[in-house]
Amino acid sequence: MSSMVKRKIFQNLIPAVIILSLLQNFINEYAAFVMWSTVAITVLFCAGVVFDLFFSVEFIVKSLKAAKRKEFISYMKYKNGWVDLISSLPVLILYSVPFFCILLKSNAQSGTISPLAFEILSVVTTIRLPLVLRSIRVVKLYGITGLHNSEMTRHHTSAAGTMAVITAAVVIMLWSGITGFSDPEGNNKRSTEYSRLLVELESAATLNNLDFRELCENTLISDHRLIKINYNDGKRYEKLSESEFSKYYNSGDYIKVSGKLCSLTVSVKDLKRENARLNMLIFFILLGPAVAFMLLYSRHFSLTVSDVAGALNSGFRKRDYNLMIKIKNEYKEEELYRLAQFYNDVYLPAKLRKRDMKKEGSGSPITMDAVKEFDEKG
Amino acid sequence: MVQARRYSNSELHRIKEFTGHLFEIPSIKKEPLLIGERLIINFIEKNIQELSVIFKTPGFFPDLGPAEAVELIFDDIYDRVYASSLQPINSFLDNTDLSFFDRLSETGIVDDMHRRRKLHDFVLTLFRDREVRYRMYPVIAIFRYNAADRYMSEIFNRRGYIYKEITRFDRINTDTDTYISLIKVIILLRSVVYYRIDGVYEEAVPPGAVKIPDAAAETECVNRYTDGLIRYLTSKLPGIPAGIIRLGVKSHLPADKLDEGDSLAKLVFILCSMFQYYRDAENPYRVNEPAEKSWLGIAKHNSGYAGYDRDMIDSLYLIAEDNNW
Repeated sequence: MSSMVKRKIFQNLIPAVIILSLLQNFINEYAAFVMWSTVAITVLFCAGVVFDLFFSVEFIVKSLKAAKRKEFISYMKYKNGWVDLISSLPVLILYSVPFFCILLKSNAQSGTISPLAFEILSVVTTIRLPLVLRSIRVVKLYGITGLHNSEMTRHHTSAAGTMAVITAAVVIMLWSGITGFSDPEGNNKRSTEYSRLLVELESAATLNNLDFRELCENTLISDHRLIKINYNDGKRYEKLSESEFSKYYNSGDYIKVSGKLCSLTVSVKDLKRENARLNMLIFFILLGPAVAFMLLYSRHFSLTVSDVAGALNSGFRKRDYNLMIKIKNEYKEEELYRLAQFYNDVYLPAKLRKRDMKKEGSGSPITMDAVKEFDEKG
Repeated sequence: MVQARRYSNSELHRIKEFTGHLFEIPSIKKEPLLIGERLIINFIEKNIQELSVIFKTPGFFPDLGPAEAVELIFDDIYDRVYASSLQPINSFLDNTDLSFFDRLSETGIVDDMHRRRKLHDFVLTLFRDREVRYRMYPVIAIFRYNAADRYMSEIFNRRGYIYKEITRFDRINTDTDTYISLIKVIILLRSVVYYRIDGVYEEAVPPGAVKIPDAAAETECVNRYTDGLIRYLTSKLPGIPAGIIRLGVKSHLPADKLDEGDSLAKLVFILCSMFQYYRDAENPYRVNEPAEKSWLGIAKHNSGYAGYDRDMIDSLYLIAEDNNW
């Protein structure tokens, strides 16, 4: 396969993977919102890990190539290398790998999570880092060659769009961190709420000389969040069978609340659902400006700036390019349009006068090599 | 054709392939065929020595003499240019009623078919002359892009400055179609000034003196030349009034050298200047004005220098602007 074909495939592959990764990001949240089965959610999570890995490799390869050409700084600063970086390695290292390890080690019932991994994941998910950084990948689409005729349009649209998306991303992460409205915070609140309930039940049973188990089950039987009660004497109360539980509950979908006499397994799926709804909204908040800059602002920029510059460039350089530039009243005081006005009123008339004065040139646009090519054609 | 009998089909086919190859060279392909012809022939004439050696090689025309090969190439180029250029003119002369000229003519009524056939033969004579043909590009372009029809229709719809100026022939109907035909005939006739007619130049213009259309000076010289041309053409173009031929000649002169009654010549001068370098330009920028409006906008600034009637340019600019031409 020729290097040109390879390059073309690679050029088309990256945008395709970016779009797939954005789709995965959205479906991931949608699945949590509509409470798909644990298998589906696990598959979606794994797809996310694969995408993170792909973009991390892409960043590393691009960095190495740039470094080889001694253009690493240029790649990072001017070719959106920093976007490639923040949308790949951090999310892979801080979220995908730890969560993947947890998924491998733990089983749905026990839900064992090491304290360090839990802390990392807690911070990362609180500030919605995976969602936000994965959504930032949309900015990479600005680099697609062929999306715009003008390199100037591509560059300025990319710069403006990237700024808008990154600003929104930073605001969202700060807001999430400060308000704390996300999975871990909600889980903590719920855990506290049920701990307090357990203490109250235990106190009530002791003070009123009631059977704790009977009191506990009578009180909690109508609580739709309660999945299981494990009494310290080995007895248990289960609303779902083992198979049903493992089908619908993944690690992170429930919390364990321990008391003196029993421990409760409580669902937090409703919190996850609410969080997923918010995440979908955030996803569109990040995608919205990116798409608007890509489709609307690029068109505006092209019509008002780069096309004018392109037309001027052609007019200055090409002998037979003598078209005037449209100058709208609302723009006529702008520097570029004042130049265009000069081009229309002074340069083009002078250019045509010069052309009319000039006799037919002695140069020929045909070369002897072009003639000889006839023989090569056969 | 004579060559068809002398040369084998394979030789002629090879010649056709070669000229096809020349017209496919990118710098030639982007040009109109008539301009491409000029560029190719200039190239061949300038490089004939080197090409003579190349043409004898097996990949070219080993069985033909270089002169024969060049002659066949020129013939094939002409056939291509003829086929691509003259169709709109032929169509005009085949289908247009020019009998209104009888009312302007001093020589009585002429059979219209005969008049058109003679005019057609005359145009062909001009077109066959390579030097004249090169200079007929604006004429061909005006016919190809329907410029006369488009602008005259608008001029007659608006009835503004140009309309008042050109409708001075009180012996013909002031309807659009008649004036479109009239202006087209003037446009066809104007190329005659490039045609070397024995006796006419020598009589009017002494050697080394200024020639039409290069000069706009020497009114007397122009008049002498035009009179000689009219004497020559009257027999060649029956039923074409002398005044129309005179307008054709005068359409090479700047506005300030023309009389009030020469407005049609002024208009033809502008149209031919506009289409002198007209190309099907590929325009990748949406901010550009269309080609004709651009030319007229620039001509506003150059009217004094180039000799255009400024008021006509303004009127034509408005027409182009309103129609996005």
